[in-house]
Amino acid sequence: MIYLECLLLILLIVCAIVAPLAKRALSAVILFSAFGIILSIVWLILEAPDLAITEAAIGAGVTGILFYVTLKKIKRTKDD
Amino acid sequence: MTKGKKKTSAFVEWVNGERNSHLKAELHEAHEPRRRIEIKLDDEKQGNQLLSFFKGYHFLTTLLCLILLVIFLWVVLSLPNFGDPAAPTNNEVSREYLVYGMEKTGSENAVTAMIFTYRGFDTLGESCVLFLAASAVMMLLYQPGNRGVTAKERLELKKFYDLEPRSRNYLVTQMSKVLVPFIMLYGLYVLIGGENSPGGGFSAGAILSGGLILYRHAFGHDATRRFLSERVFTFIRTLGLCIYAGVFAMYIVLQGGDALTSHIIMPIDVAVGMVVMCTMYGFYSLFMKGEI
Amino acid sequence: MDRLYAVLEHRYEITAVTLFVIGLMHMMQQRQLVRKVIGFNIMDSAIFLLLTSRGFVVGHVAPMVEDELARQAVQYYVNPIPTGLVLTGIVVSVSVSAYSLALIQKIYREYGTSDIKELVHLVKREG
Repeated sequence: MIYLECLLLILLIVCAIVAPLAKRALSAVILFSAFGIILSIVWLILEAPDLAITEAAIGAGVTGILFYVTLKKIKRTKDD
Repeated sequence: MTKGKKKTSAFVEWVNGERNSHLKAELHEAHEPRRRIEIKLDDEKQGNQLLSFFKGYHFLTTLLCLILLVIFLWVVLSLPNFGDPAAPTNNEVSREYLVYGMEKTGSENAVTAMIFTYRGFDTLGESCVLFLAASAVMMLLYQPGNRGVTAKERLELKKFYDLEPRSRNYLVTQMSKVLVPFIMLYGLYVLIGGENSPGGGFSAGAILSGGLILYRHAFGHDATRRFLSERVFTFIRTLGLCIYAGVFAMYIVLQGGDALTSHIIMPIDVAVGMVVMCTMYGFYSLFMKGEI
Repeated sequence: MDRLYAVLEHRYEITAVTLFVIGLMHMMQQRQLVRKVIGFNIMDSAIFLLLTSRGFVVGHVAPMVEDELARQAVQYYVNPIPTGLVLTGIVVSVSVSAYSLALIQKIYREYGTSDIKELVHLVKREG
């Protein structure tokens, strides 16, 4: 179990470092959604199922969509 | 703005709302090409100053972050161990909620019992924050309909404000026909079962809004507007806040009591769900089209 | 060996503060406004992770209290307070980021760019 936890935590840090550094802005948003999904698994491990449900719906879903729509509006989906 | 008045910065004017006061000004701006500039070509001396400032800025911020990291790690390593039952965070407050929460509020889920009754005022403020956030985004992005503009101007406006795709993706439409009912059903289950299982108003509102967003994306604005027009949207989110405030005010006026506490969780749960759902869907809709 | 054990004991807290610093760094160093907002969201999540990990107790389960266990509930369930606080915090964090994104859209509409360097320059030139 502790190996899984360490793997997830390392993945969290990697996602956090890489997400805003990605060359295309769209990849940044997708990596941020991945960050949200990993966080929701971490919350299941921390025995907080309420948080896991909310994070899966908001952190991975709604926030990602809002970022995507903004990128589309400021025309940053194609170039970096 | 009169001529005799002192000329303020354009940025200040924009913040004060003098620049974009009416539609004509916006249309004029829309015809202009994008005002992108090359920093080096523009004003060489100033530009160089700016660049050197940014170079030093990178170094200084990295240094600051490293110092912060060292301090944080030092503090964190001196905290009590992770998962220690004797840690000072697990004090008599949480003991009270766990041992007596069930019999006093009648809710098996201690988290729901806590945030809707013991800390009900906190959550009421939270709902107000959500309501205000939706209103603030509406102030910034609201572009209702196409009233009083010519066809040419409408096209120009659409370029920026309207991101609705012209044709529907077949795959998305067919998939969402299967998925949306289940998502909504699960949202309702989480909303109603929030008392005795994981969930509650916040989670359920998020799931319901996710289902609504998928529906809107698959079938378009016209399909959603049939049951969630702007009037209904405003009604639902105001009603949610009113139910919450009313129930809580009644609870305070009647001096609480255990018999009453077990009945206020369900209405507050539903009210919070309504507010959260409308807020999230409103964000998406305003971002996509500038109207509900 | 002792030090390694301490690090493993505090793995969640260490991750949380690292995430916080990473988010702060992105927020200060990225040039595009959208990426700054992503950094801000990472900082938010870091604080939530720290709070939630403080409420966890090894071997205990989520606080769905059963009737016959209610008297000795403290021995079976984790601390519900951090979970409740974070639950409301997540929803507020999404509204904060939605507001910032709306501001970014307005800025793009006005200045035609979302790059902080160009924005500073444009504002300086305009007065």
